[in-house]
Amino acid sequence: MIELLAAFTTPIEISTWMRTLLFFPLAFTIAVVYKTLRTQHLKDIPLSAAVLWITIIAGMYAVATGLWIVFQIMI
Amino acid sequence: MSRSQTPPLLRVALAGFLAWIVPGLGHFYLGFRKRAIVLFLAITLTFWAGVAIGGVRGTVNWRDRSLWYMAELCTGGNTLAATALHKAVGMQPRARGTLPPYPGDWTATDVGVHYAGVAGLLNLLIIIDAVARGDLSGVKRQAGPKKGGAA
Repeated sequence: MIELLAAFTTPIEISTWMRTLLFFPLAFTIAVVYKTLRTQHLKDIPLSAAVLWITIIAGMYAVATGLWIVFQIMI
Repeated sequence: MSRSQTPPLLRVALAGFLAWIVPGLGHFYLGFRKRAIVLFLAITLTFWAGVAIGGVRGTVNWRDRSLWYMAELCTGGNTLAATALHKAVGMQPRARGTLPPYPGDWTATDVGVHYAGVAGLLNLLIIIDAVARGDLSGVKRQAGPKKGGAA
């Protein structure tokens, strides 16, 4: 029980790359919740959520790449 | 009194309140049970994953991250439980008027806050959806059942 509580009281150590990877599950949650609310038939949720998940990740990385390029040009 | 006999206004209010206390419970109450289980798992796992990543003192912090805390409060039951845990382990002490202490693990706390805050904001969508479905379910009952509505 104490070990379980300690897991929620002590922050974990994460690297820059791990922080980037932790965006994936968060985007997955957003996609699943949105499609669960919007899709009429439950059997359509997995595919439509996966498509939305990939779209969010691709879109966010495209924005990040664009901002990185602008940043490199301005410096 | 069964759900079908509940007055529409009470049904809508109850669905919204239940969705706030436990993610998905409003949908469960309205009869959308499979959707409710998916929503419960998605929100609860995300919220507590955020708390596990960032630690409860940094993630659920009404003093130093009040706006994020308001977002987290949209998933009421989870945040109230996490707040109780935070109070049980104690707030990090700091002198009045000083900036919050950011130890070496501040990146983990930032990620955790985003997880818990996004879980709260997503639950706000779920609450609105439960309220809308609760309102519409009365209309559907009067018009007759429609194929493919409830799951």
